[in-house]
Amino acid sequence: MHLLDRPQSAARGLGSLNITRRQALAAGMLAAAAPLLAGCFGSGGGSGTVYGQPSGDVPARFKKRQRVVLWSNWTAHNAEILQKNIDAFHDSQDEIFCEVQIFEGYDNVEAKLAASLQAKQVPDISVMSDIVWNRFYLNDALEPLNGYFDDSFGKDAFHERFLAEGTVKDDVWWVPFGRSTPLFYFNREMFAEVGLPNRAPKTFTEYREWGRELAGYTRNGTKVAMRGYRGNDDWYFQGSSWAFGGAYSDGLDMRFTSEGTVAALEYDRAFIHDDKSGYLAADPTADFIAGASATMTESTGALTGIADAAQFDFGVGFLPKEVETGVPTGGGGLSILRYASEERKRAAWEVLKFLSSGDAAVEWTLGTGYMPTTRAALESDKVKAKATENPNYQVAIDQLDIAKGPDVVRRFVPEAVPAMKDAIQAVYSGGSDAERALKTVQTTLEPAIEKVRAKYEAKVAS
Amino acid sequence: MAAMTNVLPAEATQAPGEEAAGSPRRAARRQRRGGLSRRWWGYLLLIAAGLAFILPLYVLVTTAFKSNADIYTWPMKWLPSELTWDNLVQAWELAPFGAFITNSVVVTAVGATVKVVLAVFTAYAFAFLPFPRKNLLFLVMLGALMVPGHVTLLVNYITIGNMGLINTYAGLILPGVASAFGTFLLRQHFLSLPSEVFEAAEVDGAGHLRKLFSFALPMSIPAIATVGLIAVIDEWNSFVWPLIITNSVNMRTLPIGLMYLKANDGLTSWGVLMSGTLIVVLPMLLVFLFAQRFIVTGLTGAAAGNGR
Repeated sequence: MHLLDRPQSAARGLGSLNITRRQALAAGMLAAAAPLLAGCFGSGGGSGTVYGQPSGDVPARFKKRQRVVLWSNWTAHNAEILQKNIDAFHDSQDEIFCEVQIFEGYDNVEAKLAASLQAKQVPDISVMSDIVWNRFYLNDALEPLNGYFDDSFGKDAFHERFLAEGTVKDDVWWVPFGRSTPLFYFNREMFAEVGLPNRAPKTFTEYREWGRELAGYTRNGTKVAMRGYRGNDDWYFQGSSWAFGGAYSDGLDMRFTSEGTVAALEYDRAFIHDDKSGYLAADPTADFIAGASATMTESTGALTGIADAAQFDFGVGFLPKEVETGVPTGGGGLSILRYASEERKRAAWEVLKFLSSGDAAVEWTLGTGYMPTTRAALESDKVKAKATENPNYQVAIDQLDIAKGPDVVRRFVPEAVPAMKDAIQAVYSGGSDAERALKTVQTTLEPAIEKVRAKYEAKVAS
Repeated sequence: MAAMTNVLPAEATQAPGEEAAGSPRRAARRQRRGGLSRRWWGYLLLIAAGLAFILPLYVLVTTAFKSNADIYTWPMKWLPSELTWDNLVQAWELAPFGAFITNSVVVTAVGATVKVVLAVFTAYAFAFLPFPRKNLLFLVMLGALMVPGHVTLLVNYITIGNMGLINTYAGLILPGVASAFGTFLLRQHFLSLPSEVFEAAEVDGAGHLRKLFSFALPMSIPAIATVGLIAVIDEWNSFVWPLIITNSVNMRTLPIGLMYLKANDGLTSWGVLMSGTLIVVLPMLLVFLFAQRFIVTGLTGAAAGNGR
């Protein structure tokens, strides 16, 4: 504000002909700026609040239909499959038009959604990752879905375990859509040449021994590493922390420095820096396909793409165990936004229902490689046929029995994932002491956890 | 030389004539004797710096035309074993690049033009108009130069949202039209212009607009070309703002269009992504190659305050 009224007050002292014009100009600017600035301090929405719908592009033939906006993170081929299903939805009825608006990656959808809530605009459905939706739930941005289920489309339309992940206090807030788990991938040809068994290692100890056996193996004149580690995602480490008997947290009580969690990170440090079996890779998947590494852990969602690109025979298996199993679920689901109007929410439910049943659900599962999460997909002959035909795909489904959702701190505390990424990168690339890195995480997160504690206890725990 | 002057001040004062005659010859001899051997490290640095810029471009171009078998291989293949158009075709089919190009051209043309016009007027005001607290305002503007654009991102978003301009060309262009850098560069340049010209013009009865269009602008072509080119490149490459201010695929600009090619779960097809990148980079590369002379003279000239 000072910037604008200074020239005005200074001009008053001068008293020449130009002043009135300048004053008028300055006053005009002030007047124009005031409502804009006032807009920055938007009030929180009550229960009846209705926000606007993001604008977009409606084809002429759908102009008369109720419009639904779906924000999605999926790009490239997955986006094509989603759009095909939406096109099928448009043909199946004549009242609703659904526009898919794409923001690459779960993080971008989250950022965009947070900004648009500030600007008082919300899409009607949004894809959210398994951790992102929790934060919008805490801030009352999601619509409870219990009231929408009916006899034709009940809760049993979804895989029980996956639906449970999106249920808080007996109400459903987030339904599974593109869910995945990590798998262990290995290069069969390399394993055979080195003399390793034709399977995934059963335990992390065995994995490390195999890494030592692989040491010195070269292909095309370059050394092959056992594993390319991913530094920009702590999802895999969440799994191995469980496998070693540790965890991120128990409720909101942090367990980063527990014996098991430290052991898990120390294992990775020794694997990389003592044995030289692993390294921090920029793109582990590309390295695996290029034959620069012999194994990797990667999402089930990548299975189809890797099968297309790999020039060698590869196998998949369960993630290694140690003292326990450690398989995290991940991926995305769909939520309806609370601040959309009633008609928009009703229409959004129809879209959600269409995508989660019948051929659409089957096509989505088959086309993307995500886990079958709906009854339509689980019971479909096509999905069963694919699992028989491709044993790798069956492994992914079987592993589901031992998979579970991430720890509370990773889900509800936005700072947790970045702090853990810092820690694993410091250990993977710089060889930092595992325990010290995790202690840093714990101290960094303390204030962040206190910030969400009250809301968490009121809305989730009690 | 400094040491000699200290020891023999008297001689040094008499020396200039002799010095002037002697030094070019000596310098030439020095250069002949040690041309390559003295400057080899300079050439080495030049080559290293050149490679740092050329290598990524080379990888970009070759990857765009390589087959997947050539891309996903280790060690890396420098020469593709066969060239393919498949990646380019696939990129074009995956995302509506026609619409992206149209949007980028509209945003760049309008955005850069408005930016230059505003910068010219503001710079003229700062250079030639007497008004109170001019220096303070100028300081504030310099401050704006130091603020990273991302700091104002959310506020801009909310403002544009309240104006109802999300997902429109106006929303894409408006927040970027005030260019502190352009204004600064042009003001410095205007101040370096000879004041006699403007005094003469005033005597002949020229007003501000006449002084701007008939005198200041014609004498500042390189500086304005620089500001214009930087504005064009900025607008064309701009990523974060177009990302958050547009929703639907028909309003996306080229850099955002690229993300439609990058798979976020699973395997990114680098060949396709690089083909898309090539489509984005090529126009700016051409613009830069044709106009880089202007940029260099404009930047050095205007910044030094005597670029004419």
